[in-house]
Amino acid sequence: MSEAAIRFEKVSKSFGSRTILKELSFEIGKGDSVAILGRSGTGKSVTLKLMIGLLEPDAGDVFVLDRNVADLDASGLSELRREMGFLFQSAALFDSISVGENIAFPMRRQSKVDESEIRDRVEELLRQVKLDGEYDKMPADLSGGMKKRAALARSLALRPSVLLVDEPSAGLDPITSEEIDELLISIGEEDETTIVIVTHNIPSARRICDEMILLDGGLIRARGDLAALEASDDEVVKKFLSSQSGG
Amino acid sequence: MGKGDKSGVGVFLVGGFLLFALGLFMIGDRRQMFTESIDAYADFADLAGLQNGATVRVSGMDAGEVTSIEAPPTPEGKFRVRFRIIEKLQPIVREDSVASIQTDGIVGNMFLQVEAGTSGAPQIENGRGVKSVEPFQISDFLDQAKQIVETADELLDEVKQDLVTIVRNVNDVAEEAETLVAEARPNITSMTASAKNIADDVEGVMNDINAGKGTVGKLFKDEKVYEDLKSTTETLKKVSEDVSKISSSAGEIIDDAKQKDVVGKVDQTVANVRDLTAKANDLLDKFQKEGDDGEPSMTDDVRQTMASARETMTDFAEDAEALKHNFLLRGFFKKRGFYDLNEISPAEYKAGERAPGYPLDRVWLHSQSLFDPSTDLIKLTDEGKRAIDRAFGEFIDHVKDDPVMVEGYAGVDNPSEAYLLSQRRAAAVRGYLINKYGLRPNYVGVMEMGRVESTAKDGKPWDGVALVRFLDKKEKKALDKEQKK
Amino acid sequence: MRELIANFFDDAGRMGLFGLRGFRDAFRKPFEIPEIIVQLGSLGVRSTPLIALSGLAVGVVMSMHTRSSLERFGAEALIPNVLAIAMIKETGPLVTALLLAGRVGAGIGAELGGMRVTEQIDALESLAVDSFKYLVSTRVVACMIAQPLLTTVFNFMAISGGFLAETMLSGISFELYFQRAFSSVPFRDYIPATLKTAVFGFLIAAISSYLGYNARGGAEGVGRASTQSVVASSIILIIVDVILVRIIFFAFPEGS
Repeated sequence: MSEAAIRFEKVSKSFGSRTILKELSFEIGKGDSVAILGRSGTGKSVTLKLMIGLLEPDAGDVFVLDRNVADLDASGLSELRREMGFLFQSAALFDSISVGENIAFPMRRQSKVDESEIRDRVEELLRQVKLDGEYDKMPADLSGGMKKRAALARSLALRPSVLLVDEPSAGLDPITSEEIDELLISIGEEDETTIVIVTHNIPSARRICDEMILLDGGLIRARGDLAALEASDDEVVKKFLSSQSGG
Repeated sequence: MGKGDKSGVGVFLVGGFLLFALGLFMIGDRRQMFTESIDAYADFADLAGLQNGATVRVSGMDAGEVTSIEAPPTPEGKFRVRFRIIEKLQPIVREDSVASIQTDGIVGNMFLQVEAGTSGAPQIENGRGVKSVEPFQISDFLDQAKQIVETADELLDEVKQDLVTIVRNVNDVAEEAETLVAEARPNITSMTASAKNIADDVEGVMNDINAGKGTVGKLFKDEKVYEDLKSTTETLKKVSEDVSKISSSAGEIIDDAKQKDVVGKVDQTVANVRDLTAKANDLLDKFQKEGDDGEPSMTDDVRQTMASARETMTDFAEDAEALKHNFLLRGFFKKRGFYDLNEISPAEYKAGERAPGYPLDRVWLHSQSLFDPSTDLIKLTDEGKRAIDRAFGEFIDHVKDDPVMVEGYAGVDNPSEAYLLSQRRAAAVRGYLINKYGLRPNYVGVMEMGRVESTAKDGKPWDGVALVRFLDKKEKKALDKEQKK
Repeated sequence: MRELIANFFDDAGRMGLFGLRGFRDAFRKPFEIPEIIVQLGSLGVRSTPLIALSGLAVGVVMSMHTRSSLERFGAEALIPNVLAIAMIKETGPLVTALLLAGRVGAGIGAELGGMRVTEQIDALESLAVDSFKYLVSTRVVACMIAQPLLTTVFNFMAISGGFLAETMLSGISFELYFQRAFSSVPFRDYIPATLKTAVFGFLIAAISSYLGYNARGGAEGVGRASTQSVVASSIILIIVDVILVRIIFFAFPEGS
């Protein structure tokens, strides 16, 4: 068993009377790129948020980089989060500050970093996501794709070892979506980063990831690469794949 | 976050704080908190709503504030009101300064008024007290007034009894003396032969009398009788002072007065005092007949007391009368056309300011004919009295309503002596007028003119007394009209 | 009905605890001083023109009304005193608080609500930032600082407005007007009345932060949070003011 970056042990989560996850257990190895697939409302985003401690499980344990997320105190959680990046579905750039400041924000929050160092790193990240010279633009002035790239740059600012991505292609046209995918692939290759992507876009998932996990009804319905999933006899898997084949 | 934002916040914080501090300073400044000041206190039985932090004014100037109010430990005790006064005003606040609680306008706050003291009293020191006057409250005053009137009444009753007894005694003694002399006379005539011996005997008897032996001797020489009379006199003085106090505030009584029957009591008191005065006058006349070389000061005392008692009573009666008919005292004073003849200073009088209306007549009485030249005491001669009667006869039709001023003149070189002498002369004439004609004392004024040079060529300064009658404005107008016709 | 009352107290309790936590967290490391300054800028500095203008207008109007009633008693001399005491003791603090509940309460409600529904709050968390402290504590503290200062600005502008109105009619001098104005204001009215507005600031920030921070349901939820912030903080302000007036009365009784 390769060393696990993320491990779920019988994790349950429900909102009110609605049960989202039922004793979900799985592992994701270090450096792997995994896509979590499933229909809307099957708990994909919840799974991601559990990983970074934005949500707490009702039962079971979530281990990230060998730490039990639920057991961490505020400073421990902060430390863990510094090793993780999260790219939100809506980009979630801070409206009140410029793109450059958004990217610089995580660095500024850290222990004393030299201003010029921050500046250099922001420029580098902007180049990496192809937003050179957009430092002073406000988030409201950016297109959807640019926002997403800027948000990606921000989540990479601290060189995370785990990158969580929520619906990278949501609200984007296929071409822009592909650009984002390219970026994610390059990151996975370059930095040995563990990438977990939540998506219902199979082509996108296939491009980026080696492995896929299909969630349904709060449980893992299938796991494996695309070929393995396609070979599955499971009704739900078949239905999901067929509905997505056009995409 | 730009630099502009940061300095904006800085201006906001510093400016806002300074503004707040400015408010603190202005409040403190109004309360004289930043001025050197001293602490003082005054005691009050009734605070009338005075609060901690109330303004303190010295002769009307804002001078500090009330710093604490200590409740009294016993029901009889007084509240101790401690306050601060700015040092600048320390020189005028003396130990006899009087503090009172007053209201600032009809809807205003209560404040503590401290009057300037007299220059004779020592300056107030830090932590010392000043005198206080209780805040005026009508109901309290009425109760007090009633009580005083009742006390005065009782006192007068007592004194009256005493005086009546004394008068009877004096009468008895006089009769006894007469009898004694009458008895002695036939003996003297019948025994002319041994006249010398008997005369010696009589002389011995007379010596005994002079030495204080016997009843008649006792009357004139006995210390006890004298003391009795003296103490009676003093009591009377005190009564008249009490009554005087009442009458000075009586103007402030409003219609409750009727309910509490103050007026009725006052009338009774007035009647009593009048009665008493008449009796006392009789007594005095008797005394003077017997010769006043013994104790002239005593009779003067009694006379003065009588005059002042009468004066107060008239004041009081007048005020009470005014109250009965008219609670707005303004009209009462207006009708009189003047306020108080005693308040007019010679300087004002001479300058014609505050003169009580328009002079009508000035009748001259020369000092030679008025006063007994044989004594330094200002004593009216019989001739002088007749001269006054003659002069006054000209006024008598009008004088009940119009003020009369008695002007005194003296030809003495020394100005202060001249003033004193002129004052005494005028006072003597005034006293005579009041006694004889029953004039209202506040309608008869004394004006010491001092030394006034004559306009005539021989240049002798005026020496004597002038009677001046004044008209009020209404009468003057009527008179003017008549003259024009 | 009973449920409504229970809900009210439930919400009030949550808001109170939320605000108190915000206040407490402000004193825990790391201090968010730069963010407090930013908030002072947006809540305090940018409210100053509104507060100053309103103060001036209220002062002018109140002075004119005061004059018309005091004129009947011939007590025009008391106009500055009456205006100053009315402003400093109650009108200034309450009107400033209500104006700020409108401007700042709506702003905080909308801003935090927007950040909640666009996942910016989650983003902050994911960047290892204590979003509660970063967003709520800073606003609570900034509001508590700004409120007394803005109240002071309001009071002074109102008294100045009163001066303008009065000097045009009676030609009273600037110095005399201000002397009179402050002559009947004791410290026990000035200091507690001004400092109590820190509580108003706390309430406005706590209530609108609570509603914004916990907003749900997209743009509509943001709008709701914004409106509720204004309504709730205005009502609670007035209720709390009544209680504060009583407390101040007991703590600084008239006669002491």
